[in-house]
Amino acid sequence: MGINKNKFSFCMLIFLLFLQMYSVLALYEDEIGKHDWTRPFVGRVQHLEFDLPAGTTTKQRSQQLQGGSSSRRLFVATDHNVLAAIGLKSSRIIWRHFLEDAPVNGIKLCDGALFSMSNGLLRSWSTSRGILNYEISVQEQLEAKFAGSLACHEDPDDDRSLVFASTARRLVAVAPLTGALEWAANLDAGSGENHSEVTSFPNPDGLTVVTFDPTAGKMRLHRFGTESGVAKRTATVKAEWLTSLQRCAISVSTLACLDPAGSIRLLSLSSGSDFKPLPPSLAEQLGHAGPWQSVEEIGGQDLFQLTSNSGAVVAMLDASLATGPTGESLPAGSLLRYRGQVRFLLRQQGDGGGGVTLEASSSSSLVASNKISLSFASHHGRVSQLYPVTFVRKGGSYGYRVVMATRDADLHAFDDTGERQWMREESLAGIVSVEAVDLPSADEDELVTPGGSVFSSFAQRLSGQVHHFIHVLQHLMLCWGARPASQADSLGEFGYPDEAPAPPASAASSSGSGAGSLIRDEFNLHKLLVVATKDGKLAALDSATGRSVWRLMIPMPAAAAAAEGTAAKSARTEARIEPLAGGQMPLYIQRTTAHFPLEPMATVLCRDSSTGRPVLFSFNPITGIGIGLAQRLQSRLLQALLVPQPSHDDGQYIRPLMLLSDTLQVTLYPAKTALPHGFKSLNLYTIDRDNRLLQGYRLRLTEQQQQQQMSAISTWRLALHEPILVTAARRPTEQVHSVGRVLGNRHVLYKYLNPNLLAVATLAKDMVTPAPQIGDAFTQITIWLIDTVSGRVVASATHHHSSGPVSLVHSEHWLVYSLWNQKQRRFQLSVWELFAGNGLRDCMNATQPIVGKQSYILPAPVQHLAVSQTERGITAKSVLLALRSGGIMELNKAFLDPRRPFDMTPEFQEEGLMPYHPEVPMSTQAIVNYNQSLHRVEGMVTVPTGLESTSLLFVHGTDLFCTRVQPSKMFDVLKADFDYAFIAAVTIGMIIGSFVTQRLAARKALFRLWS
Amino acid sequence: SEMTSKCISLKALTALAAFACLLPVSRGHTIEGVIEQPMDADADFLAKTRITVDSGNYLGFIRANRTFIVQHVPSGSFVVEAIHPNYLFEPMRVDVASSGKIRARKLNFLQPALVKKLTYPLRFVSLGRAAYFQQREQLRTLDLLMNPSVLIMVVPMLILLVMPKLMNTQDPEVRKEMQQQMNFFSNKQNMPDVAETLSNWFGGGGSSGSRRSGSALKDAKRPGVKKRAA
Repeated sequence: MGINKNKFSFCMLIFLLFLQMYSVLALYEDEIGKHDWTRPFVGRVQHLEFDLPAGTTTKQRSQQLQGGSSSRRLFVATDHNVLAAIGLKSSRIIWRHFLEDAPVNGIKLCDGALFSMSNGLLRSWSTSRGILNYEISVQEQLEAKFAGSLACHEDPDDDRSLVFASTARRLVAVAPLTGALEWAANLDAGSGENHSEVTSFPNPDGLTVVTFDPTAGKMRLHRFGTESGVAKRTATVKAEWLTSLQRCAISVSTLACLDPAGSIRLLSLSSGSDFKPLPPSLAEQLGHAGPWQSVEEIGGQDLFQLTSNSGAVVAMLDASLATGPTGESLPAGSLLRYRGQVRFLLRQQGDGGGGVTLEASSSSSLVASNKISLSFASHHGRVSQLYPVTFVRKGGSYGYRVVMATRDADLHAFDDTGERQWMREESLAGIVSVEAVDLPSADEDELVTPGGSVFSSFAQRLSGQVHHFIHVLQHLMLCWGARPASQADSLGEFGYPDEAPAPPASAASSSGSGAGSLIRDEFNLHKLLVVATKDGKLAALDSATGRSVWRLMIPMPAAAAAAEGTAAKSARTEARIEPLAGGQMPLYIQRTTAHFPLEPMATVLCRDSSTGRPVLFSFNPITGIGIGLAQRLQSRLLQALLVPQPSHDDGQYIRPLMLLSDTLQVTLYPAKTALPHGFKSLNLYTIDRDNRLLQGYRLRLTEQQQQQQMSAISTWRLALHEPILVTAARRPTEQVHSVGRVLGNRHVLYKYLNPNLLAVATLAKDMVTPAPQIGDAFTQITIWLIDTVSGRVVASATHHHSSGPVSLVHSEHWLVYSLWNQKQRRFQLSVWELFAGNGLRDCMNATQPIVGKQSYILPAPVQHLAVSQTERGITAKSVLLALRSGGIMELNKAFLDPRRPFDMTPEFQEEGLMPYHPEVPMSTQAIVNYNQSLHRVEGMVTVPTGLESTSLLFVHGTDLFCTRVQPSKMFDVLKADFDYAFIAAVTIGMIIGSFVTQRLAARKALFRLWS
Repeated sequence: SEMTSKCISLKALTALAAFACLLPVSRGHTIEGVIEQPMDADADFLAKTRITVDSGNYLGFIRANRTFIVQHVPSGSFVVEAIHPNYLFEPMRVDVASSGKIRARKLNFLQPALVKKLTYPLRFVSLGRAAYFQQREQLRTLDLLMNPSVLIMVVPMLILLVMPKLMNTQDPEVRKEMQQQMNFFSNKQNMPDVAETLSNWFGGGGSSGSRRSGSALKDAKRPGVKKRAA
């Protein structure tokens, strides 16, 4: 009997496992790109090199890029620590490497190979395919943060090149082709080793290396020849006034640094032993007296560009001050670069979108001077970097290309006629927040808004329908007119040869042009993803194709800037929009598209970098047109929260944004919005990461002298004393379908569904587990579940010998998180499920939930967690894991269930529980992004769609990815491969067959009667 | 005041820990290895493969001779993985001693202490292409026919329909031959009688209605009847 039972349970187990495995829905191969899209990016360009034909020496270098530039590449290193090759003509990424999580110190082309220096490692790459040639560790000793610099010395006479790579401690000279170490030298960087900085510059004889120890304020100069690692000259220079080498620029024989007052100090690298200030008389000669904001080296030969708020100066700064600066004054925002003998000067007016002209001139008669005007959409902001390259055309004439980076991090390429070659939307690699917006519906039912009289509703309906009719007409006309263009779009494959396909924001003012094709589909699967980037740019992505529908730079609030004095005005050029502290830039959808005659409205909360004051800006999320001006708030904000319901009273249907200032003043945005009927109070909380403090507030509506006023009181305070790693709360709009869970014995476990729960993970030193013999001491992670209305800790648990990265997700009545187990050296995934208790109450008279917990081994490192969201919450949930290896794995929540038993009983089987297994099952079929690896995932957003089975998943980071997730398979729609023809044929066949047999039977019966 | 003192002590502790971290001069070690290029790999295989140590904190890139090194690795025990979007490789655990001695062993998350040594320098061999996609089910007539349930249904039907047709020939020669065969069979007493079994199945305990229904059944019984007569 027992054996039979075991056998039965085993069979059952196999069956269940099979069922579960089967429920992991994988894509079909022919579905690649059908419901998903990927847009790979590199990030904001920090270093850029143009590919040159192999074997050219410096002499030929001015005549680079022989022939066409079809196979030419440009190499970039970016703020995402990405090293990539981009086609100069196609703008496609040819190859791309994600380097270590440390800034790239520099890239250089030397002897036909590409060199990169980052994290103390010198790497040489083949330019064509991006294969590593060799890798050299510059210094053996490990440092928490490596400084580094890279230089290439090319001798025009004997073709002997050297690559110099240095950290703050050691310099190596390497033969570029073989990677053989020619010589090495130690640089004694001073005492504060871990923070020392280094910079270097090649000179005709060799190399100059400057190290700087900011703690001691000491700078050391080393001049090396090419032959040996014995320094020709070393000198120690005191520079206590200097904060960082980033405020310096180095050239062949001069080091120019900015002191805190904004004046220039010069150091001669060949003979000087101390910094010398620029004499005031010479400063006057330069036209501007400063204070200078930045100093840059341009094109060798001791040429520096000094930039102040009012303009810029290009000057030959000779540290001996013998010749005196021969300078040239430039208007503000100008950029000057030298490439060989060709001089490129870019002038721009205004804050972007204004006239940008580029002048190329040369002393040599070979190059004809020309001046081109370049067109930029206003949403790019100013041009911040200019990378020109010259080449010889087939006919022998000179030509050039320019690649530019604008303030929003986008990359642009122009040819020498001023025609745009391509643009890469690298700003989208810096997305910080995402909101999905439903597209306007073409459904008439939503035209009439409730609450009006019969006649007004009728009039509204009529006008609405006329509106729709006009929209449809416009749409048809657009389709008719723009057919060839739209075909070109689909071929463009995100390469964006031109800016034309997506309407620029300036053009978007002609309302319908961008939004014409944007009409909600049958199942509301097609949405608009409104994103905000860390550079203060807003954009909307079409969820079906990934195309940018509109882009918009958040404008600086102008009124306030004018009110402040001229001093503030001069600082305005440097002021920009940036995310709030903590890197957030929340987006609020204040009015949805459901109120048709009224336009939808979204608001972004960011801050002004110069004053740190919060800035609010409203816009139409469908068209990308700003609503009013950006508003600068006068006080700092503690919290901003959307009121849960829109107000129907004033016919505006706006959900007001409640702003709680640090003086506990409550204001509404927009200011005159009515509060929804019956609004009494609102609870909110703040997370103070610096002070490790959580605080709760209650906002109340009080009536004083017939005037409604909002007031805030602090209700609770919770000091956690430990650094807060991550927090997670339930999505306010989440739908829970079933409030209980039926057990095998027909009892019901009721879910503990508290909508105000906040999950917090904190890190502390582990006092319990003894420290290991080697390595760092253990830490511990504590997970807290806090009721944000009362401030009560509902549940908490500590994981000893654990550390981050912690990823947390909270949905319905459960919590899933990942952490690193230091002792067992593995990642683990833990789940909590909360069920309503048996009426037990704690001292605060609140019911305590029963918490079930279980942990599993996660065989692959994870960088982010998310959970699928569906419209009604009927569909099973899937936990989405962004793996470090680049996959997004969909894991059925049934695998993460604290009730998974160790011993199976029929009751558990009936409930559909799987027996406990310590490892989370990994399957390649569960990877929703198949081989489109996504590295450096910053966030995952799931959005419910009109189909209950389907949830939209948007992943952002260096790459963008969007797909549909169906945790319980597509149960509400026929499968894509449903064989309509076969079913139709069978049905028709059956019908015909029945008719025929009927006739035959009748005939036979007749014959039988006759016979 | 207790709170603040706690805070201060914690801060001091972390500062101490940070200081203790800095004190020893830690040298980086180098993990070496080679990767086997799968036969069907494309030209980009080397550039698209990367070696990650300690979930990507230390990286290695593949050189043209398929070897790789991961430098600046501190002492400790790390998981080394080879990652390629299209191929799967088995991850390994590599223990780096502070002396610089390195050993590789099989990665076992369930029993982390279990040592099953692997060769060092590391050698990654592809386990095959990653199966990201489901096979689409196609409706094939042969598949439909070979389905066991269909076979169970169809084969007896065929026997019922076809066999009598074959035997019920009016040709006297065939009939004679058949009778001979039947006699041959009837001589073997212990042979199970197919026709009888069938008649038992269908007619034996059946109602009169079933006997009347369909000429095929009657046909099926006929040989049996004849045999009995013989």
